[in-house]
Amino acid sequence: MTDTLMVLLISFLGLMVVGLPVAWSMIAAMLIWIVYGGKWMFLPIVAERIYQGMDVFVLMAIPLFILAGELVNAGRITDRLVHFANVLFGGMRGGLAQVNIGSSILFSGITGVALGDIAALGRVFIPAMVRQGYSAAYAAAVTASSSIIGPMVPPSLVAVIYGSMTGLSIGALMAATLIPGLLVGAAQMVLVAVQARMHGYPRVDMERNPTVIARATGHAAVPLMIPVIILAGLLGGFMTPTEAGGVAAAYALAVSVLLYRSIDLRALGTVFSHSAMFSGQLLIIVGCGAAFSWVMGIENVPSMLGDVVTGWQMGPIQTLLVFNLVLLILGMFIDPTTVIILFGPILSAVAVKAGIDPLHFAVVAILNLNIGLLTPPLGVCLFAAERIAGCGLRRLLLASLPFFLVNLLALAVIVAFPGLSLWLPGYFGF
Amino acid sequence: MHLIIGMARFLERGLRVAAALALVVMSILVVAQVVLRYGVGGVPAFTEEVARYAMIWMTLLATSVAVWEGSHIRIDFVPGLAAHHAPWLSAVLEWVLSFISLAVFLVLLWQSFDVVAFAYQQRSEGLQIRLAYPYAVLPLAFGAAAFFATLRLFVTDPRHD
Repeated sequence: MTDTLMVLLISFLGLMVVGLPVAWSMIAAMLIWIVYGGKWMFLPIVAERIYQGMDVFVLMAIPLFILAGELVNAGRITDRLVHFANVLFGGMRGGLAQVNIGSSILFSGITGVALGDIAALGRVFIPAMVRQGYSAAYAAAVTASSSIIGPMVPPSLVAVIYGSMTGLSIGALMAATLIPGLLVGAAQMVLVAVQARMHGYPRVDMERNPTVIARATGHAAVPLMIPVIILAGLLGGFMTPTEAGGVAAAYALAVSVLLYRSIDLRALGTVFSHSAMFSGQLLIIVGCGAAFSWVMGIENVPSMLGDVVTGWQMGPIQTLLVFNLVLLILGMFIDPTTVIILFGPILSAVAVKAGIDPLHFAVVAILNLNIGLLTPPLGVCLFAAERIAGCGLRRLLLASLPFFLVNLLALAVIVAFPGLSLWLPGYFGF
Repeated sequence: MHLIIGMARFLERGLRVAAALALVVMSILVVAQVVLRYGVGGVPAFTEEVARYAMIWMTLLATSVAVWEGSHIRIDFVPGLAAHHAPWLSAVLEWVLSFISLAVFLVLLWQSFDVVAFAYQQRSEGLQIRLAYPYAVLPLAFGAAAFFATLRLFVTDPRHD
Protein backbone atom coordinates (compact mmCIF):
# COMPACT_ATOMS: atom_id res chain seq x y z
CA MET A 1 0.00 0.00 0.00
CA THR A 2 1.42 3.39 -1.00
CA ASP A 3 1.75 6.18 1.55
CA THR A 4 -0.65 8.38 -0.46
CA LEU A 5 -3.30 5.65 -0.26
CA MET A 6 -2.69 5.35 3.50
CA VAL A 7 -3.20 9.11 3.86
CA LEU A 8 -6.39 8.95 1.77
CA LEU A 9 -7.93 6.09 3.77
CA ILE A 10 -6.85 7.28 7.21
CA SER A 11 -8.11 10.84 6.64
CA PHE A 12 -11.40 9.53 5.22
CA LEU A 13 -12.05 7.11 8.07
CA GLY A 14 -10.79 9.57 10.71
CA LEU A 15 -13.01 12.41 9.50
CA MET A 16 -16.02 10.14 9.11
CA VAL A 17 -15.65 8.64 12.58
CA VAL A 18 -15.41 12.02 14.32
CA GLY A 19 -18.69 13.03 12.72
CA LEU A 20 -17.98 14.91 9.50
CA PRO A 21 -20.81 14.09 7.05
CA VAL A 22 -19.90 11.06 4.93
CA ALA A 23 -20.00 13.02 1.65
CA TRP A 24 -17.66 15.75 2.87
CA SER A 25 -15.35 13.21 4.54
CA MET A 26 -14.71 11.73 1.10
CA ILE A 27 -14.05 15.09 -0.54
CA ALA A 28 -11.90 16.36 2.35
CA ALA A 29 -9.85 13.13 2.22
CA MET A 30 -9.43 13.56 -1.54
CA LEU A 31 -8.22 17.13 -1.05
CA ILE A 32 -5.74 15.97 1.61
CA TRP A 33 -4.60 13.23 -0.81
CA ILE A 34 -4.07 15.84 -3.55
CA VAL A 35 -2.11 18.17 -1.26
CA TYR A 36 -0.04 15.40 0.35
CA GLY A 37 0.81 13.68 -2.92
CA GLY A 38 1.27 16.93 -4.85
CA LYS A 39 -1.34 15.66 -7.33
CA TRP A 40 -2.56 19.14 -8.25
CA MET A 41 -3.59 18.14 -11.76
CA PHE A 42 -6.54 16.25 -10.23
CA LEU A 43 -7.89 19.25 -8.30
CA PRO A 44 -9.93 20.78 -11.17
CA ILE A 45 -11.64 17.44 -11.81
CA VAL A 46 -13.11 16.87 -8.32
CA ALA A 47 -16.26 19.02 -8.71
CA GLU A 48 -16.89 17.65 -12.19
CA ARG A 49 -16.55 14.05 -10.94
CA ILE A 50 -19.21 14.73 -8.29
CA TYR A 51 -21.55 16.05 -10.98
CA GLN A 52 -20.87 13.20 -13.38
CA GLY A 53 -21.28 10.63 -10.61
CA MET A 54 -24.88 11.77 -10.29
CA ASP A 55 -25.55 12.20 -14.01
CA VAL A 56 -26.84 8.65 -14.40
CA PHE A 57 -30.35 7.77 -15.59
CA VAL A 58 -30.93 4.83 -13.24
CA LEU A 59 -30.21 6.99 -10.16
CA MET A 60 -33.53 8.77 -10.77
CA ALA A 61 -35.17 5.64 -9.41
CA ILE A 62 -33.94 6.58 -5.92
CA PRO A 63 -35.89 9.86 -5.47
CA LEU A 64 -38.93 8.33 -7.17
CA PHE A 65 -39.03 5.34 -4.81
CA ILE A 66 -38.57 7.72 -1.88
CA LEU A 67 -41.38 9.91 -3.20
CA ALA A 68 -43.72 6.91 -3.55
CA GLY A 69 -42.97 5.91 0.07
CA GLU A 70 -43.49 9.46 1.38
CA LEU A 71 -46.81 9.73 -0.48
CA VAL A 72 -48.01 6.49 1.03
CA ASN A 73 -46.93 7.54 4.53
CA ALA A 74 -48.65 10.89 4.22
CA GLY A 75 -51.71 9.21 2.71
CA ARG A 76 -52.42 7.44 6.02
CA ILE A 77 -52.80 3.97 4.61
CA THR A 78 -51.10 2.36 7.62
CA ASP A 79 -54.44 1.65 9.33
CA ARG A 80 -55.67 -0.37 6.35
CA LEU A 81 -52.53 -2.53 6.30
CA VAL A 82 -52.58 -3.04 10.07
CA HIS A 83 -56.24 -4.11 9.95
CA PHE A 84 -55.46 -6.55 7.13
CA ALA A 85 -52.51 -7.99 9.10
CA ASN A 86 -54.79 -8.28 12.15
CA VAL A 87 -57.25 -10.36 10.16
CA LEU A 88 -54.47 -12.55 8.76
CA PHE A 89 -52.22 -13.07 11.79
CA GLY A 90 -54.06 -11.80 14.88
CA GLY A 91 -55.73 -15.15 15.57
CA MET A 92 -52.36 -16.74 16.39
CA ARG A 93 -51.05 -16.87 19.96
CA GLY A 94 -49.04 -13.69 20.62
CA GLY A 95 -51.37 -12.19 18.01
CA LEU A 96 -50.36 -8.55 18.23
CA ALA A 97 -46.64 -9.35 18.01
CA GLN A 98 -47.39 -11.50 14.94
CA VAL A 99 -49.49 -8.69 13.47
CA ASN A 100 -46.56 -6.34 14.08
CA ILE A 101 -44.25 -8.57 12.01
CA GLY A 102 -46.93 -9.24 9.40
CA SER A 103 -47.57 -5.50 9.03
CA SER A 104 -43.84 -4.96 8.54
CA ILE A 105 -43.87 -7.46 5.67
CA LEU A 106 -46.88 -5.76 4.08
CA PHE A 107 -45.60 -2.26 4.81
CA SER A 108 -42.17 -3.12 3.42
CA GLY A 109 -43.90 -3.76 0.14
CA ILE A 110 -44.81 -0.09 0.14
CA THR A 111 -41.90 1.91 1.53
CA GLY A 112 -38.80 -0.29 1.53
CA VAL A 113 -37.07 1.77 4.22
CA ALA A 114 -36.51 0.26 7.66
CA LEU A 115 -36.68 3.51 9.57
CA GLY A 116 -39.90 4.53 7.80
CA ASP A 117 -41.38 1.23 8.93
CA ILE A 118 -40.58 1.99 12.59
CA ALA A 119 -41.88 5.56 12.35
CA ALA A 120 -45.17 4.41 10.86
CA LEU A 121 -45.74 1.12 12.70
CA GLY A 122 -43.89 1.68 15.99
CA ARG A 123 -46.30 4.38 17.09
CA VAL A 124 -49.23 2.08 16.39
CA PHE A 125 -47.92 -1.20 17.78
CA ILE A 126 -45.69 -0.39 20.73
CA PRO A 127 -48.42 1.34 22.81
CA ALA A 128 -51.01 -1.23 21.68
CA MET A 129 -48.78 -4.16 22.69
CA VAL A 130 -48.01 -2.57 26.07
CA ARG A 131 -51.78 -2.18 26.69
CA GLN A 132 -52.19 -5.93 26.00
CA GLY A 133 -49.62 -6.81 28.67
CA TYR A 134 -46.40 -7.16 26.64
CA SER A 135 -43.36 -5.42 28.13
CA ALA A 136 -42.39 -2.15 26.41
CA ALA A 137 -38.94 -3.61 25.69
CA TYR A 138 -40.42 -6.67 23.98
CA ALA A 139 -42.80 -4.50 21.92
CA ALA A 140 -39.86 -2.34 20.82
CA ALA A 141 -37.71 -5.41 20.08
CA VAL A 142 -40.39 -6.92 17.81
CA THR A 143 -40.90 -3.58 16.04
CA ALA A 144 -37.19 -2.91 15.51
CA SER A 145 -36.35 -6.46 14.46
CA SER A 146 -39.19 -6.76 11.98
CA SER A 147 -38.32 -3.40 10.44
CA ILE A 148 -35.28 -4.91 8.73
CA ILE A 149 -37.62 -6.95 6.55
CA GLY A 150 -38.46 -3.67 4.77
CA PRO A 151 -35.22 -3.32 2.84
CA MET A 152 -35.42 -7.01 1.85
CA VAL A 153 -38.91 -7.11 0.31
CA PRO A 154 -39.57 -5.24 -2.96
CA PRO A 155 -39.66 -2.33 -3.57
CA SER A 156 -36.40 -2.03 -1.67
CA LEU A 157 -34.64 1.32 -1.80
CA VAL A 158 -31.41 -0.40 -0.75
CA ALA A 159 -31.73 -2.79 -3.71
CA VAL A 160 -32.20 0.20 -6.03
CA ILE A 161 -29.05 1.82 -4.66
CA TYR A 162 -27.13 -1.47 -4.83
CA GLY A 163 -28.16 -1.97 -8.46
CA SER A 164 -27.33 1.64 -9.34
CA MET A 165 -23.86 1.36 -7.84
CA THR A 166 -22.88 -2.10 -9.09
CA GLY A 167 -24.63 -2.21 -12.45
CA LEU A 168 -26.63 -5.31 -11.44
CA SER A 169 -30.21 -5.45 -12.74
CA ILE A 170 -32.50 -3.80 -10.18
CA GLY A 171 -35.35 -6.10 -11.25
CA ALA A 172 -33.14 -9.14 -10.63
CA LEU A 173 -32.11 -7.75 -7.24
CA MET A 174 -35.70 -7.20 -6.18
CA ALA A 175 -36.59 -10.73 -7.25
CA ALA A 176 -33.51 -12.08 -5.44
CA THR A 177 -34.32 -10.39 -2.11
CA LEU A 178 -38.00 -11.41 -2.02
CA ILE A 179 -37.73 -15.01 -0.77
CA PRO A 180 -34.90 -14.26 1.73
CA GLY A 181 -36.93 -11.28 3.02
CA LEU A 182 -40.00 -13.46 3.56
CA LEU A 183 -37.77 -16.11 5.18
CA VAL A 184 -36.51 -13.57 7.73
CA GLY A 185 -40.13 -12.57 8.45
CA ALA A 186 -41.19 -16.21 8.83
CA ALA A 187 -38.25 -16.96 11.16
CA GLN A 188 -39.22 -14.04 13.39
CA MET A 189 -42.85 -15.22 13.43
CA VAL A 190 -41.76 -18.70 14.53
CA LEU A 191 -39.72 -17.14 17.36
CA VAL A 192 -42.72 -15.06 18.47
CA ALA A 193 -44.94 -18.17 18.39
CA VAL A 194 -42.48 -20.01 20.67
CA GLN A 195 -42.19 -17.04 23.04
CA ALA A 196 -45.97 -16.60 23.06
CA ARG A 197 -46.45 -20.21 24.11
CA MET A 198 -43.79 -19.85 26.83
CA HIS A 199 -45.15 -16.58 28.25
CA GLY A 200 -48.85 -17.04 27.44
CA TYR A 201 -49.19 -14.00 25.19
CA PRO A 202 -52.83 -13.40 24.13
CA ARG A 203 -54.52 -13.66 20.73
CA VAL A 204 -56.16 -10.58 19.17
CA ASP A 205 -59.86 -10.87 19.91
CA MET A 206 -61.85 -9.92 16.81
CA GLU A 207 -64.44 -11.36 14.48
CA ARG A 208 -62.97 -13.07 11.43
CA ASN A 209 -65.89 -14.07 9.21
CA PRO A 210 -65.65 -14.13 5.39
CA THR A 211 -67.20 -10.63 5.09
CA VAL A 212 -64.61 -9.09 7.44
CA ILE A 213 -61.78 -10.88 5.63
CA ALA A 214 -63.06 -9.82 2.20
CA ARG A 215 -63.49 -6.19 3.29
CA ALA A 216 -60.02 -6.02 4.87
CA THR A 217 -58.48 -7.59 1.77
CA GLY A 218 -60.27 -5.09 -0.45
CA HIS A 219 -59.07 -2.12 1.60
CA ALA A 220 -55.48 -3.35 1.64
CA ALA A 221 -55.44 -4.32 -2.04
CA VAL A 222 -55.26 -0.71 -3.26
CA PRO A 223 -51.98 0.21 -1.52
CA LEU A 224 -50.57 -3.29 -1.99
CA MET A 225 -50.82 -2.74 -5.75
CA ILE A 226 -47.66 -0.61 -5.47
CA PRO A 227 -45.22 -3.52 -5.08
CA VAL A 228 -47.23 -5.44 -7.66
CA ILE A 229 -46.87 -2.62 -10.20
CA ILE A 230 -43.16 -2.34 -9.54
CA LEU A 231 -42.43 -6.05 -9.67
CA ALA A 232 -44.64 -6.64 -12.71
CA GLY A 233 -43.09 -3.66 -14.53
CA LEU A 234 -39.53 -4.72 -13.78
CA LEU A 235 -39.80 -8.48 -14.08
CA GLY A 236 -42.09 -8.28 -17.12
CA GLY A 237 -39.63 -5.94 -18.84
CA PHE A 238 -42.30 -3.25 -19.37
CA MET A 239 -40.45 -0.54 -17.46
CA THR A 240 -36.98 0.51 -16.42
CA PRO A 241 -36.43 0.82 -12.62
CA THR A 242 -36.66 4.60 -12.98
CA GLU A 243 -39.96 4.37 -14.81
CA ALA A 244 -41.28 1.81 -12.31
CA GLY A 245 -40.45 4.28 -9.53
CA GLY A 246 -42.22 7.06 -11.45
CA VAL A 247 -45.33 4.99 -12.08
CA ALA A 248 -45.39 3.83 -8.43
CA ALA A 249 -45.16 7.46 -7.28
CA ALA A 250 -47.94 8.49 -9.71
CA TYR A 251 -50.13 5.63 -8.46
CA ALA A 252 -49.47 6.54 -4.81
CA LEU A 253 -50.31 10.17 -5.63
CA ALA A 254 -53.56 9.21 -7.36
CA VAL A 255 -54.59 6.92 -4.47
CA SER A 256 -53.75 9.44 -1.73
CA VAL A 257 -55.14 12.54 -3.43
CA LEU A 258 -58.04 11.30 -5.56
CA LEU A 259 -59.20 8.07 -3.90
CA TYR A 260 -58.58 8.56 -0.17
CA ARG A 261 -58.43 12.40 -0.30
CA SER A 262 -55.96 12.22 2.57
CA ILE A 263 -53.38 14.68 1.17
CA ASP A 264 -54.17 18.31 0.42
CA LEU A 265 -52.04 20.69 -1.64
CA ARG A 266 -50.08 21.92 1.39
CA ALA A 267 -49.27 18.38 2.53
CA LEU A 268 -48.29 17.54 -1.04
CA GLY A 269 -45.75 20.36 -0.99
CA THR A 270 -44.31 18.97 2.23
CA VAL A 271 -44.12 15.46 0.72
CA PHE A 272 -42.17 16.71 -2.31
CA SER A 273 -39.93 18.87 -0.12
CA HIS A 274 -39.15 15.97 2.28
CA SER A 275 -38.53 13.59 -0.60
CA ALA A 276 -36.20 16.07 -2.31
CA MET A 277 -34.26 16.65 0.92
CA PHE A 278 -33.88 12.96 1.75
CA SER A 279 -32.99 12.07 -1.85
CA GLY A 280 -30.45 14.89 -1.96
CA GLN A 281 -28.74 13.58 1.17
CA LEU A 282 -28.39 10.12 -0.40
CA LEU A 283 -27.48 11.20 -3.92
CA ILE A 284 -24.74 13.59 -2.83
CA ILE A 285 -23.04 10.58 -1.21
CA VAL A 286 -23.42 8.78 -4.54
CA GLY A 287 -21.80 11.75 -6.36
CA CYS A 288 -18.98 12.15 -3.86
CA GLY A 289 -18.63 8.35 -3.72
CA ALA A 290 -18.11 8.29 -7.49
CA ALA A 291 -15.35 10.89 -7.13
CA PHE A 292 -13.82 8.90 -4.26
CA SER A 293 -14.00 5.63 -6.22
CA TRP A 294 -12.20 7.36 -9.08
CA VAL A 295 -9.31 8.16 -6.72
CA MET A 296 -9.38 4.60 -5.36
CA GLY A 297 -9.13 3.45 -8.96
CA ILE A 298 -6.08 5.70 -9.49
CA GLU A 299 -4.58 4.10 -6.38
CA ASN A 300 -5.38 0.65 -7.80
CA VAL A 301 -7.45 -0.38 -4.75
CA PRO A 302 -9.98 -2.72 -6.46
CA SER A 303 -7.23 -4.76 -8.06
CA MET A 304 -5.22 -4.85 -4.80
CA LEU A 305 -8.27 -6.09 -2.87
CA GLY A 306 -8.94 -8.69 -5.55
CA ASP A 307 -5.37 -9.96 -5.26
CA VAL A 308 -5.68 -10.14 -1.46
CA VAL A 309 -8.86 -12.23 -1.66
CA THR A 310 -7.41 -14.48 -4.38
CA GLY A 311 -4.31 -14.90 -2.19
CA TRP A 312 -6.48 -16.39 0.59
CA GLN A 313 -7.10 -19.38 -1.72
CA MET A 314 -10.49 -20.08 -0.16
CA GLY A 315 -13.63 -21.44 -1.79
CA PRO A 316 -16.70 -19.26 -2.45
CA ILE A 317 -18.46 -20.28 0.79
CA GLN A 318 -15.43 -19.51 3.00
CA THR A 319 -14.91 -16.19 1.19
CA LEU A 320 -18.59 -15.40 1.67
CA LEU A 321 -18.27 -16.13 5.39
CA VAL A 322 -15.36 -13.70 5.66
CA PHE A 323 -17.37 -11.08 3.76
CA ASN A 324 -20.29 -11.74 6.12
CA LEU A 325 -18.13 -10.83 9.06
CA VAL A 326 -16.74 -7.72 7.33
CA LEU A 327 -20.23 -6.54 6.30
CA LEU A 328 -21.73 -7.27 9.70
CA ILE A 329 -19.02 -5.18 11.36
CA LEU A 330 -19.35 -2.39 8.78
CA GLY A 331 -23.12 -2.43 9.29
CA MET A 332 -22.64 -1.97 13.02
CA PHE A 333 -20.92 1.37 12.39
CA ILE A 334 -22.11 2.75 9.06
CA ASP A 335 -25.62 2.86 7.61
CA PRO A 336 -26.38 0.35 4.81
CA THR A 337 -26.77 2.83 1.95
CA THR A 338 -23.43 4.47 2.72
CA VAL A 339 -21.63 1.10 2.90
CA ILE A 340 -23.19 0.07 -0.41
CA ILE A 341 -22.23 3.32 -2.12
CA LEU A 342 -18.68 3.21 -0.75
CA PHE A 343 -17.84 -0.47 -0.84
CA GLY A 344 -20.60 -2.16 -2.91
CA PRO A 345 -18.91 -1.97 -6.32
CA ILE A 346 -15.51 -3.06 -5.00
CA LEU A 347 -16.78 -5.88 -2.76
CA SER A 348 -19.16 -7.13 -5.45
CA ALA A 349 -16.33 -7.28 -8.02
CA VAL A 350 -14.06 -9.07 -5.57
CA ALA A 351 -16.85 -11.53 -4.67
CA VAL A 352 -17.36 -12.37 -8.34
CA LYS A 353 -13.61 -12.95 -8.66
CA ALA A 354 -13.86 -15.40 -5.74
CA GLY A 355 -16.57 -17.36 -7.57
CA ILE A 356 -19.62 -15.99 -5.70
CA ASP A 357 -22.76 -15.20 -7.68
CA PRO A 358 -23.19 -11.39 -7.63
CA LEU A 359 -26.93 -11.63 -6.90
CA HIS A 360 -26.38 -14.03 -4.02
CA PHE A 361 -23.67 -11.76 -2.67
CA ALA A 362 -25.99 -8.75 -2.97
CA VAL A 363 -28.72 -10.46 -0.93
CA VAL A 364 -26.23 -11.51 1.75
CA ALA A 365 -24.70 -8.03 1.84
CA ILE A 366 -28.08 -6.26 2.14
CA LEU A 367 -29.25 -8.58 4.94
CA ASN A 368 -25.96 -8.28 6.83
CA LEU A 369 -26.02 -4.50 6.67
CA ASN A 370 -29.63 -4.41 7.80
CA ILE A 371 -28.89 -6.62 10.78
CA GLY A 372 -26.37 -3.88 11.65
CA LEU A 373 -29.34 -1.52 12.05
CA LEU A 374 -30.21 -3.53 15.16
CA THR A 375 -26.81 -3.47 16.84
CA PRO A 376 -25.04 -0.65 18.69
CA PRO A 377 -23.27 1.66 18.20
CA LEU A 378 -25.18 2.67 15.01
CA GLY A 379 -28.38 0.66 15.63
CA VAL A 380 -30.68 3.37 14.26
CA CYS A 381 -33.72 1.06 14.21
CA LEU A 382 -33.02 0.03 17.79
CA PHE A 383 -32.72 3.65 18.94
CA ALA A 384 -35.82 4.72 16.99
CA ALA A 385 -37.90 1.97 18.62
CA GLU A 386 -36.47 2.78 22.04
CA ARG A 387 -37.45 6.43 21.64
CA ILE A 388 -41.07 5.39 21.10
CA ALA A 389 -41.11 2.73 23.84
CA GLY A 390 -39.00 4.60 26.42
CA CYS A 391 -37.92 1.27 27.90
CA GLY A 392 -34.18 1.90 28.25
CA LEU A 393 -31.56 0.60 25.85
CA ARG A 394 -30.29 -2.20 28.12
CA ARG A 395 -33.73 -3.84 28.41
CA LEU A 396 -34.32 -3.42 24.70
CA LEU A 397 -30.98 -5.06 23.89
CA LEU A 398 -31.84 -8.04 26.09
CA ALA A 399 -35.29 -8.38 24.52
CA SER A 400 -33.77 -8.04 21.02
CA LEU A 401 -31.13 -10.72 21.53
CA PRO A 402 -33.34 -13.71 20.53
CA PHE A 403 -34.43 -11.80 17.39
CA PHE A 404 -30.80 -10.97 16.60
CA LEU A 405 -29.89 -14.66 16.86
CA VAL A 406 -32.86 -15.70 14.71
CA ASN A 407 -31.86 -13.11 12.09
CA LEU A 408 -28.34 -14.54 12.10
CA LEU A 409 -29.77 -18.05 11.71
CA ALA A 410 -31.85 -16.90 8.72
CA LEU A 411 -28.71 -15.26 7.31
CA ALA A 412 -26.79 -18.52 7.70
CA VAL A 413 -29.52 -20.40 5.81
CA ILE A 414 -29.49 -17.78 3.04
CA VAL A 415 -25.69 -18.01 2.79
CA ALA A 416 -25.73 -21.81 2.73
CA PHE A 417 -28.52 -22.12 0.13
CA PRO A 418 -27.87 -19.75 -2.78
CA GLY A 419 -30.98 -21.12 -4.49
CA LEU A 420 -33.16 -19.14 -2.06
CA SER A 421 -31.77 -15.96 -3.63
CA LEU A 422 -31.21 -17.16 -7.18
CA TRP A 423 -34.28 -19.24 -8.00
CA LEU A 424 -36.77 -16.38 -8.53
CA PRO A 425 -34.50 -14.15 -10.66
CA GLY A 426 -33.56 -17.28 -12.65
CA TYR A 427 -37.26 -18.06 -13.18
CA PHE A 428 -37.74 -14.59 -14.70
CA GLY A 429 -34.73 -15.04 -16.95
CA PHE A 430 -32.18 -12.84 -15.18
CA MET B 1 -26.47 38.94 12.90
CA HIS B 2 -30.29 38.78 12.89
CA LEU B 3 -30.32 40.29 9.42
CA ILE B 4 -27.89 37.68 8.11
CA ILE B 5 -29.84 34.83 9.69
CA GLY B 6 -33.02 36.29 8.18
CA MET B 7 -31.33 36.28 4.77
CA ALA B 8 -30.20 32.70 5.32
CA ARG B 9 -33.75 31.62 6.19
CA PHE B 10 -35.05 33.31 3.04
CA LEU B 11 -32.36 31.62 0.92
CA GLU B 12 -33.04 28.26 2.57
CA ARG B 13 -36.77 28.47 1.79
CA GLY B 14 -36.04 29.43 -1.81
CA LEU B 15 -33.60 26.55 -2.27
CA ARG B 16 -36.00 24.09 -0.63
CA VAL B 17 -38.85 25.13 -2.95
CA ALA B 18 -36.54 24.96 -5.98
CA ALA B 19 -35.37 21.44 -5.00
CA ALA B 20 -38.99 20.29 -4.57
CA LEU B 21 -39.93 21.80 -7.95
CA ALA B 22 -37.00 20.02 -9.59
CA LEU B 23 -38.37 16.75 -8.17
CA VAL B 24 -41.83 17.59 -9.56
CA VAL B 25 -40.33 18.24 -13.03
CA MET B 26 -38.29 15.04 -12.89
CA SER B 27 -41.28 12.93 -11.79
CA ILE B 28 -43.56 14.35 -14.50
CA LEU B 29 -40.97 13.72 -17.21
CA VAL B 30 -40.31 10.13 -16.11
CA VAL B 31 -44.02 9.29 -15.99
CA ALA B 32 -44.50 11.07 -19.33
CA GLN B 33 -41.83 8.79 -20.82
CA VAL B 34 -43.85 5.69 -19.93
CA VAL B 35 -47.15 7.21 -21.08
CA LEU B 36 -45.67 8.43 -24.37
CA ARG B 37 -43.87 5.18 -25.12
CA TYR B 38 -47.00 3.06 -24.69
CA GLY B 39 -49.45 5.76 -25.88
CA VAL B 40 -47.72 7.37 -28.87
CA GLY B 41 -44.96 4.85 -29.47
CA GLY B 42 -42.05 7.23 -29.07
CA VAL B 43 -40.38 9.46 -26.49
CA PRO B 44 -38.70 12.81 -27.27
CA ALA B 45 -35.00 12.51 -26.45
CA PHE B 46 -34.96 15.69 -24.38
CA THR B 47 -37.22 14.23 -21.65
CA GLU B 48 -34.51 11.94 -20.30
CA GLU B 49 -31.89 14.66 -20.45
CA VAL B 50 -33.99 17.29 -18.67
CA ALA B 51 -35.08 14.75 -16.05
CA ARG B 52 -31.42 13.99 -15.28
CA TYR B 53 -30.60 17.69 -15.00
CA ALA B 54 -33.61 18.16 -12.70
CA MET B 55 -32.36 15.33 -10.45
CA ILE B 56 -28.89 16.87 -10.22
CA TRP B 57 -30.31 20.33 -9.44
CA MET B 58 -32.59 18.80 -6.82
CA THR B 59 -29.69 16.94 -5.23
CA LEU B 60 -27.28 19.84 -5.05
CA LEU B 61 -29.87 22.38 -3.90
CA ALA B 62 -31.08 19.97 -1.22
CA THR B 63 -27.46 19.40 -0.25
CA SER B 64 -26.95 23.08 0.55
CA VAL B 65 -30.18 23.19 2.58
CA ALA B 66 -28.98 20.13 4.53
CA VAL B 67 -25.83 22.05 5.48
CA TRP B 68 -28.04 24.72 7.05
CA GLU B 69 -30.13 22.08 8.83
CA GLY B 70 -27.09 20.02 9.84
CA SER B 71 -28.96 17.00 8.49
CA HIS B 72 -26.35 15.41 6.24
CA ILE B 73 -25.83 11.68 6.79
CA ARG B 74 -22.98 11.16 9.23
CA ILE B 75 -21.81 8.75 11.92
CA ASP B 76 -22.92 10.60 15.03
CA PHE B 77 -21.54 8.12 17.57
CA VAL B 78 -18.56 10.29 18.61
CA PRO B 79 -20.50 13.60 18.52
CA GLY B 80 -23.27 11.90 20.54
CA LEU B 81 -20.80 10.66 23.16
CA ALA B 82 -19.22 14.11 23.36
CA ALA B 83 -22.61 15.83 23.71
CA HIS B 84 -23.56 13.43 26.51
CA HIS B 85 -20.33 13.50 28.51
CA ALA B 86 -18.61 16.81 27.73
CA PRO B 87 -20.81 19.50 26.14
CA TRP B 88 -17.83 21.86 25.78
CA LEU B 89 -15.95 19.22 23.77
CA SER B 90 -19.03 18.71 21.64
CA ALA B 91 -19.17 22.45 20.89
CA VAL B 92 -15.48 22.48 19.91
CA LEU B 93 -15.90 19.35 17.76
CA GLU B 94 -18.93 20.75 15.92
CA TRP B 95 -17.06 24.02 15.29
CA VAL B 96 -14.06 22.16 13.84
CA LEU B 97 -16.34 20.02 11.67
CA SER B 98 -18.15 23.11 10.38
CA PHE B 99 -14.78 24.68 9.62
CA ILE B 100 -13.60 21.63 7.64
CA SER B 101 -16.92 21.59 5.76
CA LEU B 102 -16.50 25.27 4.95
CA ALA B 103 -13.00 24.64 3.60
CA VAL B 104 -14.34 21.82 1.40
CA PHE B 105 -17.17 24.01 0.06
CA LEU B 106 -14.81 26.90 -0.73
CA VAL B 107 -12.49 24.64 -2.73
CA LEU B 108 -15.47 23.11 -4.56
CA LEU B 109 -16.93 26.59 -5.20
CA TRP B 110 -13.61 27.81 -6.62
CA GLN B 111 -13.22 24.74 -8.85
CA SER B 112 -16.84 24.72 -10.00
CA PHE B 113 -16.39 28.13 -11.67
CA ASP B 114 -13.72 26.52 -13.85
CA VAL B 115 -16.01 23.57 -14.58
CA VAL B 116 -18.81 25.93 -15.69
CA ALA B 117 -16.42 27.98 -17.83
CA PHE B 118 -15.18 24.80 -19.53
CA ALA B 119 -18.74 23.48 -19.97
CA TYR B 120 -19.70 26.72 -21.76
CA GLN B 121 -17.79 25.41 -24.80
CA GLN B 122 -19.80 22.17 -24.90
CA ARG B 123 -23.38 21.42 -25.88
CA SER B 124 -25.75 18.74 -24.60
CA GLU B 125 -26.61 15.75 -26.81
CA GLY B 126 -30.40 16.10 -26.79
CA LEU B 127 -31.34 19.73 -26.33
CA GLN B 128 -28.10 21.13 -27.75
CA ILE B 129 -27.97 23.71 -24.95
CA ARG B 130 -24.66 24.90 -23.52
CA LEU B 131 -23.66 22.49 -20.75
CA ALA B 132 -22.77 25.50 -18.62
CA TYR B 133 -26.50 25.87 -17.78
CA PRO B 134 -26.98 22.52 -16.03
CA TYR B 135 -23.48 22.79 -14.52
CA ALA B 136 -24.35 26.25 -13.10
CA VAL B 137 -25.90 24.48 -10.12
CA LEU B 138 -22.40 23.59 -8.87
CA PRO B 139 -21.28 27.15 -7.92
CA LEU B 140 -24.83 28.00 -6.83
CA ALA B 141 -25.12 25.05 -4.43
CA PHE B 142 -21.55 25.13 -3.11
CA GLY B 143 -21.78 28.92 -2.69
CA ALA B 144 -24.96 28.54 -0.62
CA ALA B 145 -23.39 25.65 1.31
CA ALA B 146 -20.33 27.79 2.09
CA PHE B 147 -22.62 30.61 3.30
CA PHE B 148 -24.56 28.26 5.57
CA ALA B 149 -21.37 26.59 6.87
CA THR B 150 -19.96 30.04 7.71
CA LEU B 151 -23.11 30.84 9.70
CA ARG B 152 -22.77 27.59 11.60
CA LEU B 153 -19.35 28.74 12.83
CA PHE B 154 -21.03 31.57 14.72
CA VAL B 155 -24.36 30.15 15.82
CA THR B 156 -24.93 26.65 17.23
CA ASP B 157 -28.25 26.01 15.56
CA PRO B 158 -29.05 28.76 13.04
CA ARG B 159 -32.64 27.55 12.68
CA HIS B 160 -33.49 28.56 16.24
CA ASP B 161 -31.01 31.31 17.15
